[in-house]
Amino acid sequence: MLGMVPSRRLLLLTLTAAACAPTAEQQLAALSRPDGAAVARARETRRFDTGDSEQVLRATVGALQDSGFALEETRPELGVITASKITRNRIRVQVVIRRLPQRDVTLVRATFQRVIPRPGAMLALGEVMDDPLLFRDFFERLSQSLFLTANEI
Amino acid sequence: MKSSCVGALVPFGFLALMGCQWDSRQQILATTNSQVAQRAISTRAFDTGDQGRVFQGVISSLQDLGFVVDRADNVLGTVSATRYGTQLVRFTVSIRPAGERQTVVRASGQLNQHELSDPAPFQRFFAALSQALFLDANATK
Repeated sequence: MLGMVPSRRLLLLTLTAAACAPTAEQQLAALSRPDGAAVARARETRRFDTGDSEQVLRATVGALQDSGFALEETRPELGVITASKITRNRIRVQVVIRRLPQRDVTLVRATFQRVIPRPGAMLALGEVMDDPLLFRDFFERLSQSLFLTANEI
Repeated sequence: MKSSCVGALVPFGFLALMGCQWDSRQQILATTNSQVAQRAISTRAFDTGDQGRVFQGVISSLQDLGFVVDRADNVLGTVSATRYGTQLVRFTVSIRPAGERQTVVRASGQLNQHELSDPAPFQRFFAALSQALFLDANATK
């Protein structure tokens, strides 16, 4: 390598790197959801008919505690709560609470991830959870804490 | 012979897949005690409206019990802490006002991979918090 002409060396490095680089399809897939962003948003979001987003925030904390989650990141001014739970795998959840401007409506969106540890491997595997029943049950729990209906959007 | 082996495996595989899906939902949301029962062991009210004081009390009692705080948010009123020992304990405490003169404290946690569902660890925590605040831990209505 050292004895090579610099342009040759660069060519060799580029070819080596290219062999390991993900394809355009793989890179696009990395940012796509299997059933599309709109479907995912509908599945993960519920509407509560209240302007009291702080109450919804607190109820979310309660619902997460009910389910055995430990809070990780909390940004109440942004309405963001992240929590995790260790079961056979590690479950991560992010809940974002957003009041619609000038309306007594608060939207709550939850995203669940499951991280599967692989001892010895460099990278963990995981998945974004998309079971509609999971979201139904989670929002049911939140609904009960709030004494409000979780409406589909 | 090959096709019959595969044929026998298909329903099993299907059941296993279904088991995986159900298991995830259970893993994520299932609890040992009913919501009401769990609230009864995990929630106490203190006769003070001073959220800041209760918040400080939570942090110092967690420290007394050997925890290190991971996250403390005094706007939301939540503290998360971890205790490393022979067992891993993760603990989350949330506080909220209940009227002008009371603060409600709710604790939850995991011991290794299992939810804390016995009254004992909560009694220990609330005893420590009571001491830190010089206030009694009352049952919530």
